[in-house]
Amino acid sequence: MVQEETEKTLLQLSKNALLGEITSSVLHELHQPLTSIVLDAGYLKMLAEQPDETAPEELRKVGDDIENDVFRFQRITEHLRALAYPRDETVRADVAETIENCFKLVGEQFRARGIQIELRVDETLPLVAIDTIELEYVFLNLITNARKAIEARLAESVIKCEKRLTIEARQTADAVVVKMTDTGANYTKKYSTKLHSPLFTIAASGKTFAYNVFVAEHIITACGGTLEMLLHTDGAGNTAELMLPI
Amino acid sequence: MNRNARLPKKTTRLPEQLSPDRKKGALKNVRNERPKSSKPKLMLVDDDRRIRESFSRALTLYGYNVIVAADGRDALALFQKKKPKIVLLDIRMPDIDGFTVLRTIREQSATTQVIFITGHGDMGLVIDALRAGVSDFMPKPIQIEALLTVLKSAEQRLERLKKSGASTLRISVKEPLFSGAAAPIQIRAFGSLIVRSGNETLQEGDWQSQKIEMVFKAFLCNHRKVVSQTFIMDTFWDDVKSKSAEVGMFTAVSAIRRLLEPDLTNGRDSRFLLSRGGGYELNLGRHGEHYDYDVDHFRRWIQEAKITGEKKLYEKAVALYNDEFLKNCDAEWVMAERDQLRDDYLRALLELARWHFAEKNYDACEQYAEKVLQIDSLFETGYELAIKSVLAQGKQGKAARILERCNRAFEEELGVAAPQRLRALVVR
Repeated sequence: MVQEETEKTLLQLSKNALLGEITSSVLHELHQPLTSIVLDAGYLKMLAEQPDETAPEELRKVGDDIENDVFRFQRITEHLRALAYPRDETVRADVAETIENCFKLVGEQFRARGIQIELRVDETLPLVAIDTIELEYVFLNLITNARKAIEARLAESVIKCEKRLTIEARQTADAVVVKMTDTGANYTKKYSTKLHSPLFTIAASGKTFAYNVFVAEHIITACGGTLEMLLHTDGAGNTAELMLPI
Repeated sequence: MNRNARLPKKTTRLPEQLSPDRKKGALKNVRNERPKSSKPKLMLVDDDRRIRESFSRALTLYGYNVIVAADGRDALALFQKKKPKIVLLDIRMPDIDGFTVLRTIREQSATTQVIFITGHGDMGLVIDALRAGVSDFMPKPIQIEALLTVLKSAEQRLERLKKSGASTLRISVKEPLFSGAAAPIQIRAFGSLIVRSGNETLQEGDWQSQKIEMVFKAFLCNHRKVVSQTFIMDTFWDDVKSKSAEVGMFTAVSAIRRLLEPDLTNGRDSRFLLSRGGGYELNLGRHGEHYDYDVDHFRRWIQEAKITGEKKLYEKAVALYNDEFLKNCDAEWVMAERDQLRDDYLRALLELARWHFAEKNYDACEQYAEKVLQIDSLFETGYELAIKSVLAQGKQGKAARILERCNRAFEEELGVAAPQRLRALVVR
């Protein structure tokens, strides 16, 4: 019982930590609609300088655009609310959509560092038996790890190295298998057992950062799936393979 | 909306990016021909459709010829074809990163103004961008007024480049060598700092920030010497984390380089502020030819006067000293320099006063002696020369008044009466 409580607390703390790690990226995503809005406000003021030459349609169009930006802003904040607070859980999740949602939050961290994202997701995947937000936490955990491993390798290597995260998803007999492969520092080989601890951190090139699969593994196991870290025996990179029951 | 952001009425025209049906309705009474825009061609690179739209319609209305690209590949292809003068480039892009785009543009044109659009917390990227030769930065979200200011200074840089006839080829001058055409830099540091570079005159307060001005003063006090990065960060950014300190320092160095050389595209090519292993060296070149600095004139004349005994040189030096060195700047590293210069000035004044006394130019002697007392009201020899010169003109009363002033000064500062030697002069 005590063990279970501790696990639950650790999971919540790890999720919170994950949320913290994506904050800067989310702020950037929020700044996008704000940038459009503030520029449009300036545009409106410029139009006001020449009222005789301004058509009502143009004003209406700018108004529509600003409204859409506000909706876009709201979608992000609502998404965050779902990640941060209790909610009604769904019993099924769309893998492709969940991956897409993740990159709406952390895509900026990849763009800022020029990390390529390669998606090879089958179009006709069945829904998987897991809550969609929980699945998002699984992906966020693994995607963030990939980003950190790539950053660490970049910081340590003098030669230019590939920066890529590949996500594959395909259907098997009774599951959807998702494979995430990065070209980062080969941590799976170095720390194969420690990665499962919620408190495991890595110190590399003057930085210490959390690097573990605790959140992903915990959630996946609870829904009857599996998570396996595949060893890359040569060179760089890590692969996480998820089996999600359908 | 501030006055800068007002529309130039004549260049107003239809936003090009709008769909044809909106074009019809957007502005009434629009003429069919495209009004000739005086604004340079501008390329905006951002992967967000809405941001491209907002930027381009506002800037188009303001008279810019705006072309847009959604990613790095597009941007490079369009750059080749359209040759925009200004490029607004999001540092983050889905395909090629902003730095690669910047480098590729720089290889083709040294003059194109590349402005990075950055987000918050991009400090690390900002350092790299400065190293890579970016022209300016613009944070997101940005208001149109601020954006127009950034663009205006980019246009000014373009204008200067055009005037100086800079070639579009990459200019690489790593050595502190000068061509005769280099813009002369003028610096006045007796009193408040005034720097003139090209056509721009910067006075105290005209700098981007007071800190940048202070950093320049530190370089100036160490002309032709290496100032270590550690010293700069410890002196000016001791209150922030080392990363922010580094950013602050790079920003200041970059700003100073551009103030001295407005046409500079890559900071590392600066001829005046050189990167020296772990520090920077301000080297303005040959005095008189490449730069003109009142303090250097002063020092040279004093030096030559000491050797030759030429009084004219002392007079020239003394005339330059119209106030203390870097007035209102009380940093420790300024003080040593200031004291040294003031001592030289006092010595020169005394030399001149004595010489005029010997030449029986009592009036001139008195004036120089008074200048000494303006600087140091406890300077005994100053009083002595002043009293002797007025007595030589038979002005007993004036001599008594000078002695009285001396008495007051000594009483106030030291709590004693004027030296006996001076009192003896007047009594006699």
